Amino acid sequence: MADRYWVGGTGTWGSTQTTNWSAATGLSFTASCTGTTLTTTGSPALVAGMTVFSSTHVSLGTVVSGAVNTWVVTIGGTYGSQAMSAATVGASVPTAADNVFFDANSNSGTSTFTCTMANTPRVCNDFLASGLDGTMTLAGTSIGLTVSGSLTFQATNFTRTYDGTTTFNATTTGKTITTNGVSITGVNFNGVSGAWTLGSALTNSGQTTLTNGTLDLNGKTLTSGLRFTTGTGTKNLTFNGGTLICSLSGANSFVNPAPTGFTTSAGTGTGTITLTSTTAKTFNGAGSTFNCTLNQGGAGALTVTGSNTFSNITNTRKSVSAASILFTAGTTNTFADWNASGESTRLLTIGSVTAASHTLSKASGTVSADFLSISQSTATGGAGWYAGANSTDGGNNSGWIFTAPPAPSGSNSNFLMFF
Amino acid sequence: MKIDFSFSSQYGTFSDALHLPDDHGLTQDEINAMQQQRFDNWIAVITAPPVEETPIEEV
Repeated sequence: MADRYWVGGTGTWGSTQTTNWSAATGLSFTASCTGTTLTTTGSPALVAGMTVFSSTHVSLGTVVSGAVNTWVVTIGGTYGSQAMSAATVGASVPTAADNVFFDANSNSGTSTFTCTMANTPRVCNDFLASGLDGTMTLAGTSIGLTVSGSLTFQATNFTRTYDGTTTFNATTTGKTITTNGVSITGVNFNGVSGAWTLGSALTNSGQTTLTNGTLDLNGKTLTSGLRFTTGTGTKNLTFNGGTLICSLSGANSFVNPAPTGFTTSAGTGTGTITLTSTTAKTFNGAGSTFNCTLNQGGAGALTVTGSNTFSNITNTRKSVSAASILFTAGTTNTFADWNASGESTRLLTIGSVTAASHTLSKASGTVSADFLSISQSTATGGAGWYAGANSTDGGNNSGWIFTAPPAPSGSNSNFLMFF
Repeated sequence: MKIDFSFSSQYGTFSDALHLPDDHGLTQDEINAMQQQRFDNWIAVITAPPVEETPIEEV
């Protein structure tokens, strides 16, 4: 494992270019140049062989000799006093075992620069963009980035325009992903026995694929603009109070085509999977157990397919409009808790996709809902399924009680006895 | 330093964190603005999602 530092400002991160890679971080300083004489302000630790870059990242050649503040470079030119940088370039292109760094010495002064990735995928172990004092753009057309370690994007002075998939393929635990508000365009998690923890929200406008490894949301929000899907492998989604947002509409908002080997863990706090599309969308659980809350978070009808198990179900859309949650006929979905209700004038419709019944099961306790419109629904499992006094029986239901649940024993009776 | 924050919305809760240098020099208003921008960007993503056309292969 080696470290690779990006230096010299704008350049290409391809499979062969070594112009912008150094084994050590570069130097930043102020200097002027006349001919091949470089005059620095102060005494930067220049050494022979370092390449010097102007404020616009034009190479002044390499340092031949010099000391303190007077140096001889191979190319030179006429440059007034300005921010410059220098580094020993030519280190090998990072491999999947190498850490890559983008820092304050990747450019000259506060100049902007672009690192354009070529030859997909670009690979590295850790990717760390930190300390940048000029805006860096990480670019590349149809270029993916495969990270075998951790990834950190800087909160400021960092822009991503590469449009390929970012793949995390670590095979050990303890990796972190901190995108710091920088969105990406597709992400794969595919490292056998790997584990990643979100350090910040991860907003992905593309597809999210969980194939191998453990993804810990760590209380943060993971947003998948295209489908969230599973791949064949051993994979775990841990919430620790985090939220998975699936914003795609249609049949593939959340799909689980490889349920074998797929587990979810609640961790600490309440995890949530929310589907937010304003048009119809589907949660295809494929019969897995989801140790989290399933939330209807968008105006479009939410269809749940498969006989799944959930910790809870909610409907945050009720604060805005009516909504629907539909289940595939013939399936049984099991809940530890049920907190899906509507509100006055904004009913939540519970029904089947087709004209046949589905089953909802809760083993014990009481479901206390209200403002539901229920049809084709069999409520069972041992719990008392109280739809609420303001709910509507749309027909073909079983097990639902269309009243409010009875008051807890001892509360009202004691109150009346007191008077 | 890490600053955790969250926003509640009709779409559920957005939870994020700002990772900043210890000497970031930002004012609280600037930090609040960064947090609001994160939330606004998130809302923009989830309220204008692309529509996927390609059918998937069922297992």
